[in-house]
Amino acid sequence: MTTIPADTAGAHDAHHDLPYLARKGGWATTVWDWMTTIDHKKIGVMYLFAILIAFFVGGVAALTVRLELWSPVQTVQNAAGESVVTGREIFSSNTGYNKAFTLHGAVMVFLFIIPSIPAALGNFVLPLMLGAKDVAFPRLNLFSWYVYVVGSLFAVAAILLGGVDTGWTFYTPYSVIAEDYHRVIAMTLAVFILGFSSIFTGMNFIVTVHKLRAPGMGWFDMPLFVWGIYATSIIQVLATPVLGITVLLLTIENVFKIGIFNPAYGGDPVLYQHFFWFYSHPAVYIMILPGMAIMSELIAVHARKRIFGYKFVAFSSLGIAAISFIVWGHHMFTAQGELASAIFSGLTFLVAIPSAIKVFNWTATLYKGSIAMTTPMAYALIFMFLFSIGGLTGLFLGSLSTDMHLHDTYFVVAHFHYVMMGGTVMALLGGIHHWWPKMFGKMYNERWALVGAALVFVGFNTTFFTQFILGTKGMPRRYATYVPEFQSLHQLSTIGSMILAVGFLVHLMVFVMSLAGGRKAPPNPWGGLSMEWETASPPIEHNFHHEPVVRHHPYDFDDTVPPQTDPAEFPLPEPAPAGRGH
Amino acid sequence: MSHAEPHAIEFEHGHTHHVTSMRLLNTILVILLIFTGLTVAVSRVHLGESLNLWVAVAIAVFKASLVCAVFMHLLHDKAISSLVLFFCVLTIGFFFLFTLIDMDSRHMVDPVRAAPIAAPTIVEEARAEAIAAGELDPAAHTDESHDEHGDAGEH
Amino acid sequence: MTTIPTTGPGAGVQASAEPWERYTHQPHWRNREDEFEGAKLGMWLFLSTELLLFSGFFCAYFVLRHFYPDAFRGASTHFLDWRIGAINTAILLISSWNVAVAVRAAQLGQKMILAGNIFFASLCGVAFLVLKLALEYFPKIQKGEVPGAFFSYAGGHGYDPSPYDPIFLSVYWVSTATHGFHVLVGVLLLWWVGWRALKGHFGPKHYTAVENVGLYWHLVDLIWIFLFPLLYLVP
Repeated sequence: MTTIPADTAGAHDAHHDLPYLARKGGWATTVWDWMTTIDHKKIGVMYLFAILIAFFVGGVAALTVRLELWSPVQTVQNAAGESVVTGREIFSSNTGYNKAFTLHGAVMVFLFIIPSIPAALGNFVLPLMLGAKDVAFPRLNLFSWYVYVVGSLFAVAAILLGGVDTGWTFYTPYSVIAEDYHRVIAMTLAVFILGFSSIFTGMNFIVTVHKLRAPGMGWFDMPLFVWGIYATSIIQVLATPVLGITVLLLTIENVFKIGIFNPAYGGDPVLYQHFFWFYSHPAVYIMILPGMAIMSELIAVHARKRIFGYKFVAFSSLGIAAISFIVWGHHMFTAQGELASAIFSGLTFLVAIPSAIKVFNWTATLYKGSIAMTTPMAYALIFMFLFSIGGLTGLFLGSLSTDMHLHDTYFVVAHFHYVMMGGTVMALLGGIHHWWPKMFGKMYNERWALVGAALVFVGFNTTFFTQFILGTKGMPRRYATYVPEFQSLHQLSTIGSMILAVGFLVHLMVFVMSLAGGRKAPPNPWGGLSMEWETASPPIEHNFHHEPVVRHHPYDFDDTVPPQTDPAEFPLPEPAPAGRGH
Repeated sequence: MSHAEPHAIEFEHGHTHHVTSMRLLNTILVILLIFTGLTVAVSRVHLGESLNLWVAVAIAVFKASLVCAVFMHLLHDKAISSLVLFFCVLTIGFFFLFTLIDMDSRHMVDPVRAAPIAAPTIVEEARAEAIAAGELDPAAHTDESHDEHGDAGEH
Repeated sequence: MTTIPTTGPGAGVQASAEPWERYTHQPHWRNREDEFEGAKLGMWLFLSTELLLFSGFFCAYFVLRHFYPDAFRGASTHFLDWRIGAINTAILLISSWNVAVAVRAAQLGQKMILAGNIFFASLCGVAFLVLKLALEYFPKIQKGEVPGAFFSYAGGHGYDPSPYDPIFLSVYWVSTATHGFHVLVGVLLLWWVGWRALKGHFGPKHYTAVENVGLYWHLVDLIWIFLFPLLYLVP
């Protein structure tokens, strides 16, 4: 990192006043320019495309899983006493189904959701918000993208060679005695490599936040998005190495049969679960914290209201990051000992405090705000609704006695989809719409985007709320077959997933239309006050013509005219009478 | 080199960097080597399984602290570097603490949960092969060392 | 390759000056101090990730030793020679001292002391690896003292392996091999720094790479400080 040469940019080049998207020459030159760029904006856009491809692959796998569950394929005995298979099936075997949900889980977690907001939107927005020219280590940033691509190729190789059926958690001993262990090796190596990409991004952001804030920008003058990403980066740096060693040991275990996790050689499979969840629980917050980071921006800007309790929201991010390291055992209530379970259960409830602080503060921010029903605001509201359900059902699962009943049922599946998808993916979609004009310099069609958001909302709840009911009725997760009583709920869930897919296709269409012929975006379409709105849309190559100066707090909507806007469009509120706000 | 011993250099206008004295570096090296000898010596004394382990870890922590403080300049560095190390060690502490709590208490309610499940057979197989190949004298085999189950399974 | 900027505050310095005197900073940093501190902060974060990575080995070590204390004692005493471990510890400690002296030399602009110490430290690293390979790894592979399922050491010389000896060897092999890989990377980095030092890239105003590669090398030393007593000295 320290060895990046000094020649990263020819200092006074006429190019640098052009938009970063401006082409530098012919087709080949442009591709080469993008492949070797160290511009955080381009790397952010490259990440965005990479994760959207991963989202598509994982989404197709999810749809396949849902389609398989349309009917309760079962082996039953007919009148003559012979075993016959009833129902239609996509996969000829349970293994095929297992591979599909493993593919869905592994791709969505490692390839999509972990890099999604930090690496794509964070890369693009964070340096702009800080008034910096770039991230601290631009070459490391590009390198992390290539590491991500290489890791993804390993994952693709594992899939093309026939897939892995261990589940995305790779629990031992199954993952070390599986017959297709060479594909498990490819998959765990993929995870190992992807981990480095995540670590490099986290390191980069931490140093950027510490050292590259614009002159005059104190810690509490930073937008809350930066606070959220900063907390995420801390987790990425402190947790991901343990995942690295876990999957490295798993790989070595599969190659050399060392037996640290394999009970046949004296190893301990529960030790693997401790190792794995020591990373993968904090990883849950790597996924949700950036979503919360985006939320603070969406709510404040689109309600044109100073964020309620700035410091509480900022510190609750750090609080979540800290607590995330001491609750991993709540994934193992049925595997570990009773004492550890009791301790972990108690600690788990702590997470509710900072999470609730955030939700309450966002709600309080909305109160008496001038809410614009834009797509980003729509997604912010969807996030609050879905995340509240996801978070509160987490309390049921954190209680030992309830979890014993709900463990490994669809209740758990529904819970984490409400948090991961209802939380992070909704925030990601809101964030993409929020910063789309800045990233590409084009507006999108608000009406169609709202249609997409409505479809996603309806589809999501149809898909996953039914799964809460399925879970409480006792439907276990990860089974290709089930008893016929569950069929109607499963079919409802499958229909929901189709609506969800249509919603995403509408969004895709909106984005393509915007790129093809969208209205040119003004520099500050929403009247935001953070620094990314002070530069052009799309930003020039060096981000700002002059080093930006901090003139106001990012949420000072009451007495600051948004930069680069027509004052008539975003009028300041009437001076508050004495009793305003009670 | 007939330099006077400077304590700091000016790196950039208004920013000085601390320079560690040769004397301190030499002293630290000597202490580190002495403590390496000490850790070997202590391991020869039987203090009991856990005490020996704790003493070895304590000496290692002491040596590591010296390396961090002087060789890695934490003593005169910005607080942020020490803070990073502190949070890293804290995280490792959580990792060890809870994992070991579980390992130490898993058998309390349900003894079946205590490892090991069954003794692996790799060594036996290796022995059988060696005896078949005539490389090992079967008479030399004693069963005394096969008492490993005791510790974890005794509860 | 460090290209020295031709514009900016350092441009006025005479062309005959050493490269470090002409170095300013990369364009996205505001000044040289920020760049140095930022790079060092990045390095400390990276070192944290390394410590956490190795913490996995240590955690596995403590848990498995907790389960099989007798096997760990027997296997450590029989399979490992503490003298090799002790010599290697001394080698790494001395090389760490060399690197600390090298950083000091860079700060004081003593080019040859800097390069000399860096190259000597790298020689220590090579010696460490040679001892490890020639006296431990190769003989062990020949005798079948390898981890897990490939263990084929049948006993003899009065030592009767316990069923859990392969577990100890698993921890030994994976942790020392990973550490050895870090030593190898460290040696390559030291060569790179030494070569640049000879070209005059480092001096009182620019020694970021010396400082950070030094930090990395100390970390390699630090991890061995823990591995040595835990693996070689189980009483």
